[in-house]
Amino acid sequence: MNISFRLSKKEDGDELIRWLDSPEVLRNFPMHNMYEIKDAVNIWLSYIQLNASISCEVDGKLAGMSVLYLQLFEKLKHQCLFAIITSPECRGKGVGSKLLEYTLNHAKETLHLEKVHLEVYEGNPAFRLYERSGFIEYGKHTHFLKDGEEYITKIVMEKEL
Amino acid sequence: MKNITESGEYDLRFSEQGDEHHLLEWFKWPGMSENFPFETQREREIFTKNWASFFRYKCALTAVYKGKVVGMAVLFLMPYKKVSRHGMLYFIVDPRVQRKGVGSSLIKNIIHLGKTRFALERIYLDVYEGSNAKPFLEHCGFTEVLFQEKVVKGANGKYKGRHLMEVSFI
Repeated sequence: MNISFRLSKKEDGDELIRWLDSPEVLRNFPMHNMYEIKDAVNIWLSYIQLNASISCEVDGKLAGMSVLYLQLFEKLKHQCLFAIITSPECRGKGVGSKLLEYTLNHAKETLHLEKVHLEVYEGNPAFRLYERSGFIEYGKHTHFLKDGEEYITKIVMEKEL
Repeated sequence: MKNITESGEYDLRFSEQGDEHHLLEWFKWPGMSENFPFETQREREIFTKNWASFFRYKCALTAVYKGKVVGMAVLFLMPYKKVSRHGMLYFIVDPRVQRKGVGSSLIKNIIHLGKTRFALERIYLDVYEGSNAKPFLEHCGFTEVLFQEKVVKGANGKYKGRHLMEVSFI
């Protein structure tokens, strides 16, 4: 498996939409339908100009993306929320783990962030990846998402860089 | 008179275009940035613009006393369906009229508005570590959901955490 990383490009957005457009994946995100997916992807891609979105390729094919939602206000700029996703074809192959490692390094060395935090919804297997990568849970927001009649708890985790 | 909200000269109305200059004025008061994410004039303007962008949804209230605007509150509504029952609250009282019941009145009424008009199930807000707003908000029925360390970094290099507090109706 030949894995490489680069800054994201606007054209990556179509794949990002495809990856998000599945009920199993959407369970782990606040978006509900294609309208919301496209809105969220537009916001994600707006961070390209800040060098804050990373794309990962496996054997030359887009396999994952991450984004650091850099803060606008000066006194919040040392930390930010981030998100990560891998293509359905590359899940369970260690791609997410490598992309996460690369993203955290980019956050520290290039963007000079001191800490990053993330939101993971209860039941998302990525929780274990975050734990293994040194993220610490600092709280839970119960009943956060309401998907139909089901409530889903949001777990918040952070890592000092 | 201690509590001006009991006066016949006190009223609440929906915020409207033109109210935002009061926000900008109050935001400049010494110490005000301790409770908000902004620090510079540019940041105050951005924050004011965000706040005012919710006026058209009728989810923002303005308190008026003797014809003068003395406080404002807003619910930042969430754009996605799965979080559409949430509102993020911000409020501010004219520093010259604090401790006269305006904050309580704004919060009580914006909670009612959130519940009845927008069918919100929870309203939350961030309170920065050390803020004297925390006991006041607890008095208004908010409870702490979580605490995150080192969210704010001051110009002096000192960090502050944030308390996420909420009122929930579920």
